[in-house]
Amino acid sequence: MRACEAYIDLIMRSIDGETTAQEEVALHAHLFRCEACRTLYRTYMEIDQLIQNTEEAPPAHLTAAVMHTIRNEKAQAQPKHWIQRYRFTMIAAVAAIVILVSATVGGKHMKLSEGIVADNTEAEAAVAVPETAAEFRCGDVAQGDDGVEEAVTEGALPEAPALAEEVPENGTLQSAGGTQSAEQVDASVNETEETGESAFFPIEYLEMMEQAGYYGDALLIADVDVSALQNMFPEANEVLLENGESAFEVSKEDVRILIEEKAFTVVAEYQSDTENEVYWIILEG
Amino acid sequence: MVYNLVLRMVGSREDAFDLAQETFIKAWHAISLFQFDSKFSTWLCRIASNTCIDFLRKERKRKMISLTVLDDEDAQYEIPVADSRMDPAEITQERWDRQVVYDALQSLPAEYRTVLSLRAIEDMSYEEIGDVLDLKQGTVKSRIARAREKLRRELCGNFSLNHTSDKEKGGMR
Repeated sequence: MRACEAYIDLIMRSIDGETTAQEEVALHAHLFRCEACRTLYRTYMEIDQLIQNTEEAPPAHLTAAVMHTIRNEKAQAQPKHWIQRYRFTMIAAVAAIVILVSATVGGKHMKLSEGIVADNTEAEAAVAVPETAAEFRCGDVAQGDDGVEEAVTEGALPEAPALAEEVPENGTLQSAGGTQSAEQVDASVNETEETGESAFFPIEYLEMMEQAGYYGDALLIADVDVSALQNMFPEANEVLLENGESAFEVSKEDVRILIEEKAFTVVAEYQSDTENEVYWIILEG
Repeated sequence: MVYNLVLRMVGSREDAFDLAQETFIKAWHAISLFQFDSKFSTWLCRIASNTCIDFLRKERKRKMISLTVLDDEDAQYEIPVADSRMDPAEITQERWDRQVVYDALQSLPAEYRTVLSLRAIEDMSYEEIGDVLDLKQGTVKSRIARAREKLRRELCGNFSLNHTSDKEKGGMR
């Protein structure tokens, strides 16, 4: 039994919800009388239902994969913007602060009696100006001169990404947020000088990371060699840096465990504003 | 929505994952171009559709053996080889039925299964499908009609679709 050719188009449009009310009335009046068309109508409805049943939930990790890619792209865009656009501004700003602070401290030194030299030394420690742009970026520079700090951090430069939080186990990292008081900065600088460790991630590594196309978080570590690191992270991806050294891409979770176990010393940490679950680990020296 | 559309268009879950991801990334890049003159879902599906068409074109060039089907006026894509076979040990009747329908869908030309998926799964109107695929409504309607009929013929061996009558049970089996 064949369906009526004249009604096939109407059957299709009815299933697709593309008919008028009048057409629906006419169609159903016909379906009431014509078994072949009624069968075809139901068949097509069932086919659509079968197609709907083939719908699948997207893979669970699709969202994470998309977000990971977007974060990486954002991370690549932002540090590039940072380093390339403001590198010379930052260096110039640091140089200006050095000059300003040196002049201020020098003037004080000349005017003050020898009894106040201790204060002067303290002031020098407080403004122990970082030598690199990376140090400056960590927000630790302009504590010696509030006016300059405001001009640099709020005007000439974009907001600085925060350095890593302290790692209490070994105390090698210090928080270097801009809200630190001068006393806190003094303390951190002194502590750094005492332990011989630096809280600042060297700019040359940031530049090499940028050249290698990486803009995420990084750790500079000591007390292990390449083979020891490879043993710790057998699945780490190795990336050759411009200076011939290697960086190793490892999961943060693995690193945290080894930091707790004091398997190596964290010399410095660079924390980007991305939410990477991996670190680049670079061996100091 | 995007994943299922892409999966229907390319047939392979692995490719569908990559292309769905690519679609979302493209949408993220182009979000400022979204004009609010259509539904966001339509706009997103259009990106997905174009991404898949590009992919299928490249695949067609890449493959030495063309599986292109040209049995209709404007068929232009190849049939991908489905890679979705299930583990026989896990097959239930329901899953088997789904797989049969899935395979039958995949045997259709890509432009047919695309319109049918947008209609049956995404519940889009002819106008919306036309917007997504840049087709006239008449073309959308005729493709859906042909696709349904082809699918009916494909499935009639597995499901008693064309034997169902009023006097029989309401279901298909």
